[in-house]
Amino acid sequence: MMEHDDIHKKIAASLESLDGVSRATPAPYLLTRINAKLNALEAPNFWSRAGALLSKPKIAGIGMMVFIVMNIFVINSLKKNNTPAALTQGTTNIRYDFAINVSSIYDIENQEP
Amino acid sequence: MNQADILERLKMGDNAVFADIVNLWQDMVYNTALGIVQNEEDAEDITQEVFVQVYESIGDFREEAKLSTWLYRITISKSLDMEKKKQRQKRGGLLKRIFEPTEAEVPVSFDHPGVKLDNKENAAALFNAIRKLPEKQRLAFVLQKLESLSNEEIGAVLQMSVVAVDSLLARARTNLKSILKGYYEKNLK
Repeated sequence: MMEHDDIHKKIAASLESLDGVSRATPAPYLLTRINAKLNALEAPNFWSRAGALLSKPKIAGIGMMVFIVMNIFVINSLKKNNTPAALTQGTTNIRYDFAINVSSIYDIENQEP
Repeated sequence: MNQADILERLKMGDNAVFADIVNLWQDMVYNTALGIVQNEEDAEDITQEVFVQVYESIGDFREEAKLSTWLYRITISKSLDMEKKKQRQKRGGLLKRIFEPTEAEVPVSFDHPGVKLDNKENAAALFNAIRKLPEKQRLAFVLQKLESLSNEEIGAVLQMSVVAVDSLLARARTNLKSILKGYYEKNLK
């Protein structure tokens, strides 16, 4: 019974513990810290400016177009060069460049007696 | 200077008025944030963020509400955001603890600097219980106890009727009694 009363007293005391509480105050120079935060927000660095520029729809669109045109150009130029003669030429060049002496069926056939 | 003049000058970018606003309301903002997040560092960060937002979005302020009501709303919103961020970090921490078990975590006891010395222990138990209340009840109780707002003012901040605030506070009290009962039954034995 005594314990029950104690608990009720503690609950009542806890609920009243914030009566007459005074306001907590922040650390000094809060305004200075806020101003520093505002200045940091107002002066963006190189990367944030570059990011902001690239995220503009016009710039992003132009960038995408340039990328697509460059890809088309590269694909077309590869198609032009991709003939069997050019390929053979390329292989022969590599063979001479690296001095690879590969024996093949053609080498055997062309051997002089 | 009345509210309309303050707002007019603030919208024109008058830094002296902004400094006056910070000096006038910094304790109110900090104390409210501290009551909600129960952590001095977080409350300090929230206070800074609140005034940065005031500076940036003063143009959006509709003059039908009081400036202090608007400040309370921003403070509450920032405090709840901070809590959500902390909870996300805690969840990440839980995964970490599963893989790298460390020593058991001690429950945090909050000591509000404005509480009288002889009430510190009881207030710590109360703050612990406040943390377990549903969000709206917690906000209403904090505004009533720490900021001494009337039910009408709490209603304006939380955008609800006075009757709803009455009922919210009554439920908060009932829940707090039950939480504290459980706490003291465990700790008085």
